[in-house]
Amino acid sequence: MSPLPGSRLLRRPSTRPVLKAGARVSEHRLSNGMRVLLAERHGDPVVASVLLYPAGARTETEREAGVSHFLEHMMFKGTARFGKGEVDRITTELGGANNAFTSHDHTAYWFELASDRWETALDLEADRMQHLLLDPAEFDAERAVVLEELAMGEDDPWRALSRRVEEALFPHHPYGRPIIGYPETLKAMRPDDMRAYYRRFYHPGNATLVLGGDIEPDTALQAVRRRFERVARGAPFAEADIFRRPIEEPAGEKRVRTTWDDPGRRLLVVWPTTRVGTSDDDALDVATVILAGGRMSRLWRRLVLDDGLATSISASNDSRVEGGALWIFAECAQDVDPAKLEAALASEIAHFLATRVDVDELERARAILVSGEAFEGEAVTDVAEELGQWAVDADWRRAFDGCKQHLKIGAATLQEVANRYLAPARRVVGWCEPRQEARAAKRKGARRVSPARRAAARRPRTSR
Amino acid sequence: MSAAYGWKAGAHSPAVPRIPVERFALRCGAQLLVSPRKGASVCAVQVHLRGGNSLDPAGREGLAHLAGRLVDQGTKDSSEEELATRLENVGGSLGGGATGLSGQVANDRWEVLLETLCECLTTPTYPETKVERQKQRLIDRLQVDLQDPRVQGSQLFRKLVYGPHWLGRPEQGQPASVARIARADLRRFHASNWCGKRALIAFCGDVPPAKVRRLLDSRLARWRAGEELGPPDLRFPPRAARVASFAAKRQQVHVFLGHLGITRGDPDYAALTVMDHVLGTGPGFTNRISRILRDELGLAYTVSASISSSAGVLPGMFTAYIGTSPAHLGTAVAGFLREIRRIQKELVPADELALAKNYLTGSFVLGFERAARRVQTIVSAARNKLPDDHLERLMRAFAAVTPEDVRRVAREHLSPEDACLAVAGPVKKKDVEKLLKSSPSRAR
Repeated sequence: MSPLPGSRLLRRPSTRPVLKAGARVSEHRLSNGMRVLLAERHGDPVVASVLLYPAGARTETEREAGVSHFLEHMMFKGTARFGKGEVDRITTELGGANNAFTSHDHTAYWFELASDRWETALDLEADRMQHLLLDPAEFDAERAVVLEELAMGEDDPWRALSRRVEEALFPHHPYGRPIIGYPETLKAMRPDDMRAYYRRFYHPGNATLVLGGDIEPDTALQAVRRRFERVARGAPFAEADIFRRPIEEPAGEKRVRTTWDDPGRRLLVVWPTTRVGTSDDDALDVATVILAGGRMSRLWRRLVLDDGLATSISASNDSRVEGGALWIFAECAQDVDPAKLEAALASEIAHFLATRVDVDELERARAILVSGEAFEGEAVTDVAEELGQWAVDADWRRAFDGCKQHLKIGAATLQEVANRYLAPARRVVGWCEPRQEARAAKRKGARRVSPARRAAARRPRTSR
Repeated sequence: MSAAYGWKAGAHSPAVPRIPVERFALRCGAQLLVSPRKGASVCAVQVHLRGGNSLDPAGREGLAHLAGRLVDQGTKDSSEEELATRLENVGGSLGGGATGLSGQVANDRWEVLLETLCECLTTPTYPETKVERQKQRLIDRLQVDLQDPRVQGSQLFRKLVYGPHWLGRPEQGQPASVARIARADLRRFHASNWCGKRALIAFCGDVPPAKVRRLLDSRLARWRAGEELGPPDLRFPPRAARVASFAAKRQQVHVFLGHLGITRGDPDYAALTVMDHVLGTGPGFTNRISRILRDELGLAYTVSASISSSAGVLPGMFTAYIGTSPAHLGTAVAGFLREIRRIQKELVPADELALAKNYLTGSFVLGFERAARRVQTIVSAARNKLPDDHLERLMRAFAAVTPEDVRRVAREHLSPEDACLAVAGPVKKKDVEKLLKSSPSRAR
């Protein structure tokens, strides 16, 4: 496997502050390997603490699918010192907020507290980094909650479709598995399995802590050292720890079809793309805005405003540590033939690949990306989260760096990158169709379909 | 436990964010509130127009919503494309709805935002093609919603609580009512109802208030002042147990239980907010309903109960909600009713009350970093006629709430025996009715 960006690359800490979103950011490394980022900004009397571990769907074996997210839930279920519910109770008593999230590449825990009481977050984090109980009764109760969360997702037609599309996009790779896991892997999971996973990932050698907002850096660093310096370092996560096949280069277009019992026709077109933080990633940010960023974007203008083929269009450049995806979501207008929408979308992408964007369009995309940073940096929790996620997945210096990186992307580079990734033969096309119509079409078509084709249709619904 | 950890409940003093506001009366009759915020990277604006959905004519429900949605799709001087280009090119956004317009942009582009806002506010033309396209998009959306159990459950619940009052209707109308709306209806609606005397404009950003006033006064000088709106309709159905269901094949059922709630001006608002945080809302699983139904019984991922969060100029609703597996429906409803009865019957222990009060007083400082949130707070305070020091007063009122207050307001404002119940998902109505009748907690 080729070298990847991310937490395992030990860069020399930069103690010299760098300005990001109005915050003076400095990097520090404790003697046990724990990375600390301090983002000092005094506008509001608020401090955000975000602690991240490089554990997500990517670092799970097939049997462990969902363990990162389930563990995230269990991190609120108690240690010997702070019993079940104490993290929430203490946060509430301090008038703060907390939560956590799990992605394909990392798990993050955040607190938001007034600046006269934020250090409590460090006590709670240092304790649950080392002493999580994983009580079997609590484990079973929380598994029921996770299964309800999974059921909630299955009741959403977009989530159900994107899950199937992601499986087709990343076959044989953990990115093709849902972050929440599967009912069968969750039901088979035992506290000891989770404990082993917890010990593998939850220690200072893997941790990145970001403190953002109304802090004094020296005092904050001392506070961190007091809580974490004596925690045993643990072995940093190495990419070779988990065997997984590399992301496969698509060998042709794939198609996925689901049905839902409403009249909506939902279209997803997705291409596998690049690693987070690369120059190609920057170019695809620009491409995403040109294609679907706002009402003057190409796809919105053509498909929604001019031709009325879709009721909405959006796109996302979802870059990840090992390789990402560019997603386009469209809702087909009711009286429109879905094939017409798909053809129009394909023709717009083909045009985008064939001709260079003009200066005005490029300037518009850059302006939107640059101005987006004003919004991303409005709240200190957002600043801390952004820094932390960039730190774990690539390099924190890239956070709030759009001005520099996106301005470098010229029309020729954009066209070259887009052609490399957005070719028709690389895409997965997913449709969610009304169940009644799908049944009727099936009945109508059944008379004409040969036995060989019927046999093919019984295989998994993903097809080339 | 808190003492063992080194602090006492209530030991820290409440921090109240300072949201200075300067008030102006514009020549067009609109009221302007400006909150200057030094160093803000983003500025935000909101125009609240009184009336909203209450002005929808019978059979054309959704008119107010469409009239707002379409104001940025063509004006006397600019096409939709020109308006969008002007704002999007500087990363700004502007959107309308039944009760007005709101938008935000990077602070240094505040003039672009306000100039575009004024144009959309005063001279929308409702171009025929845009009207037809927006209508069709809305109808498509509503037809999908007709099969969505969560949406249908929520709408059924509103209907049970508010009955024929306009608050019981879906804000965006129904496919048939939207189909009846013509361009002439939209133009007429805008001409009659989007006027200075009904407008409340709030702005927050790093801009001197006098500059904001000057720009708006100049751009809105020709805006029709119009007429003030009459008093709202306050006729609501009496509280009574009513049941509705919506059947759909899904993994989860969506359960809404509750009744008519309170206005923001209710003298018990602070005590009810504290009660909510003991009973069913707030962070994590510190409230009783989340702790028991989610954390202990594992019934759900999403569960809550609140009466204060929907309080406004008109009464909101007391709503207990859970999304759960059909097998857990009975346990969930019984759990809601049991906890409501318990908070009416028993005094809240001191530590539990202190926890809720500490959260409410301590957390006020959070969440006001965003300009949009400040603007919403200013608009809400003005609409509800709250005094300038309303945040400080609220903090003091939270701090003064006693266990007896919580029990009293729970008894006075919650009526589990008269609760409406709407359930949507894989369930039959007769089972829902049976469930409500058979629940032992319903009998006093």
